[in-house]
Amino acid sequence: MKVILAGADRLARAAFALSAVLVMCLAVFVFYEVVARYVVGRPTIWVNEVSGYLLVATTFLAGGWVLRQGGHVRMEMLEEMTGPRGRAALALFGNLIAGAVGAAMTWTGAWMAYDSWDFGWESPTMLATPLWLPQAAIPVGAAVLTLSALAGALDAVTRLTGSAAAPEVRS
Amino acid sequence: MTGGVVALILLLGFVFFAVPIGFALSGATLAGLLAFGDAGALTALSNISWGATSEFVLTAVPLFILMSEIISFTGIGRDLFLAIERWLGRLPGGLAMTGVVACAAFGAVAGTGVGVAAVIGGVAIPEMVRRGYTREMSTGTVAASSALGMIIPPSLPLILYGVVTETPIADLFLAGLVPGALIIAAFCLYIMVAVSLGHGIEPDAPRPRFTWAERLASIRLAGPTVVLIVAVIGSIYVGIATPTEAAAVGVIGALLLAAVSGKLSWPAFRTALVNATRTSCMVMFVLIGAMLFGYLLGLLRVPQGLSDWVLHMGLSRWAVFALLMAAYFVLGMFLEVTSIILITMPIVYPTIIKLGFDPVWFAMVLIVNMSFAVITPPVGLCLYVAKSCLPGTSISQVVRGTLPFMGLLAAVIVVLCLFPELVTGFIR
Amino acid sequence: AEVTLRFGHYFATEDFRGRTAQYLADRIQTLSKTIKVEVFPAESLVKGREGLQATAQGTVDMYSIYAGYITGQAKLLNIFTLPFPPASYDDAAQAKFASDPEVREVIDRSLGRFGVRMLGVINSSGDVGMFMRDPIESVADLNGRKIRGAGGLSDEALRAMGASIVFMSAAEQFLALQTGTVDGIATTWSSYVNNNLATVAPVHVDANLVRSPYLLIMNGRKWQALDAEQQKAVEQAVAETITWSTENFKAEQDKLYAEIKKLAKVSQDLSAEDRARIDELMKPIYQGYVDAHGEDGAKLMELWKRYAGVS
Ligand code: NA
Ligand code: NA
Repeated sequence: MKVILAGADRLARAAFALSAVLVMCLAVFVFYEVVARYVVGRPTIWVNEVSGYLLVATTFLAGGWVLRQGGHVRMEMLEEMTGPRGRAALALFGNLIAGAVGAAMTWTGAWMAYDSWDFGWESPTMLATPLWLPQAAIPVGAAVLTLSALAGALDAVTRLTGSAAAPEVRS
Repeated sequence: MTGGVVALILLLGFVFFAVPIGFALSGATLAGLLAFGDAGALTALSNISWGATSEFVLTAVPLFILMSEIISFTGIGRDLFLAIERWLGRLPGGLAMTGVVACAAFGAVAGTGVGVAAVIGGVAIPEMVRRGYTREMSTGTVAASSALGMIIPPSLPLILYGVVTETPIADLFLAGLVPGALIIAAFCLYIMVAVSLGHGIEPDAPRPRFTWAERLASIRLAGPTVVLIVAVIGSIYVGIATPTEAAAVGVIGALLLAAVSGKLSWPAFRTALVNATRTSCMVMFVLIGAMLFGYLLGLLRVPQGLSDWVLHMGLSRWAVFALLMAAYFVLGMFLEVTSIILITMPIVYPTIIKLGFDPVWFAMVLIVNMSFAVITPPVGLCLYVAKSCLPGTSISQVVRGTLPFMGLLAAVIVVLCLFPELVTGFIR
Repeated sequence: AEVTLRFGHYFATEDFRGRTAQYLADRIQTLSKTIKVEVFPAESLVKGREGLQATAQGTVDMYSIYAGYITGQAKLLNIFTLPFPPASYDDAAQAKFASDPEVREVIDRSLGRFGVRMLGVINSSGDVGMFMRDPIESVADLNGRKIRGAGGLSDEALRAMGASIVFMSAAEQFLALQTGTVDGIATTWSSYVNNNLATVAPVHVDANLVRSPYLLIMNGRKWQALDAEQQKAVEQAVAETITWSTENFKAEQDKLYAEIKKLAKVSQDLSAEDRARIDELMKPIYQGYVDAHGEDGAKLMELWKRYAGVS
């Protein structure tokens, strides 16, 4: 069990690291477009489109690790009013909902990307990006999110049922 | 409609039981689609997520956040604050006014309220408390003023409003200066009067004196911020960059400033990038959730039903307007600003236009109303940032601190309603 | 059985094309008492760009989609984005071309693969004009200019003329023209008038860059689920809407054209040399379409030329 949890977390972390790199790429690309258009006078045909795709990737790839870190904003009123067991129960509930959403997005996202691949769909631009490529970021990221939610739920279950010694992970 | 009510109750339940807001929204949508949708309906989850996210204009979200994070470690927020203090420090409540003006000045670089709260709050709040201001006054001033970050251009919420309603973003940005100036004036006036009457500060708190030489020297201190303001706003109005791209200009500009000042180190940069990625991911998941929930409500005909209902109640336009403002205040308690705009605009905008209100003017009233959203619990991001700037402060202390400022924001809304030409005349 | 059709489109409710969509919805509901049509204007359910995929997957049942948006998915539809068509290719000609059985057969086949049924062409973009910040002497002047394009093959045409295509959202176009981030924009007459672009792009280059239809598409499963009577009602309503739209569209366009003549400071006609130069530059693009699409491409091009009145 521990191994699986650790594996899920390592995966989520790696996806997050990739996402951070993509955020920086985004800044550099968009700035490059400004330079290319204003200084060189030759706008690119790819920055506008690719930036949109990068935004999808960076959002979905980071989702799992941010969930594990308790970084998704939530209303904490009830958490502040209740004890450790109550917090564990709330964490379990939150992770189950996130997991359900993640699973549904993985499933439908995979179909969406598969259809685009199967039909050979491309963006209607000069870049003609095969759409399955950027779309695949959704099921991949959502799968990581689902695993992270499961890991979070297992953590919460341990805290609920197990020894009082089990530490609270959620920040 | 009944389906809509069920979905709404489910959403509120999820939010109350501490489900992260983004997943509360998408979870309620998932449940709603399973309950009320047909076979194809679930595909909306990925379809809408894709359509909502793969949008160039939204790259402003991570970029504005990244810029604020980089600026946080350059220390230019502190320099800006110190520079402004040399001009205002003598006045009663001078340090608090400095906080307001610093928020406004930094607001001319940042696109969101939270960005301003993080950069200015970290400097202003501890300093104010050290100099005898109460915790309430210190945190309240900064939390409330940080909303200037989204009122004074550039503004992420106004970009989104422009995108959804196809209102020219240039007009929205220019118009934002009007409520911005009104809020600065109102806040500063209030602070001066309140502090003079002994509110919010210890009786014998010292006020520093500055020589004119020091004041002139402050221009150098504020220099980096001014450079950034010119780079970000200038690049938009000179035609170098679009408002979205200006965020990237800000990121690179902030990095250059960090490098020049010698503050750019790998650990600092890494932390900034990680924080920005985390925050932007959070905001984007809320946004996706909001789009999904909007799809579900649309499917259940809630917007149409609601706006028909409002229009057929036979209320006067100002009564409808007042109801809307109240509804926005309540929404603002529970949701984050960008998602409120994205969720509601498809419903509200057509109604507003039908009632004969000016779209730019309405955006201004709305954005001032949204200043409540960032400081009202349970979901008030600036509230939490301000709290975290001063260890040992409770949320209720910050909320108490913001209360007088909320009164002033309401007054600004009233002024904008009484004199709409302040906005409409200004942009013509 | 009772059926609800969710019908999405791109236009504002009060726009002529928005009214056409509403007309269709009303006709369907009149002709079949068992169908209820819910109209979602202004991309309020699904974005225009995602219209085909959303319809294919059933996120929405029907969509009135701009042909230029789906040329990456059904490349044959680039026949609807051929740049600088002759003046004789007006909206009526386009409507006739689009409803030619042979054309319909090709479109049906290319969209049918995705589980999408094409019901008909109920709307047109009308003329797409070029609107500039500053006057130009001739089309040679477009060389080096930055222009927000209209998509599809028309972008390639502008590039062939030496212009650079800039991509940006509709919300940013006004500011970009005002500040000079771009030098010009290719857009429909209605968008030029409704978005008040004359104040920032006062020069109208009076040439039609492209004319694209809006295809009315429907989810295939949803279509199959209708009974014969319902299907007949929908087809009847589509036919009536096409007639209604064709009858009224010309007047609508004339009104817009008069408006543009009034709003734009300069309205520049293309000279005969300009026209000849453009035709020369477009040849490889037209040929490229045929080369890319083999037999179907050649057939569509031949039909197009006939309806467009190209010698
Ligand atoms: Na701002
Ligand atoms: Na709030």
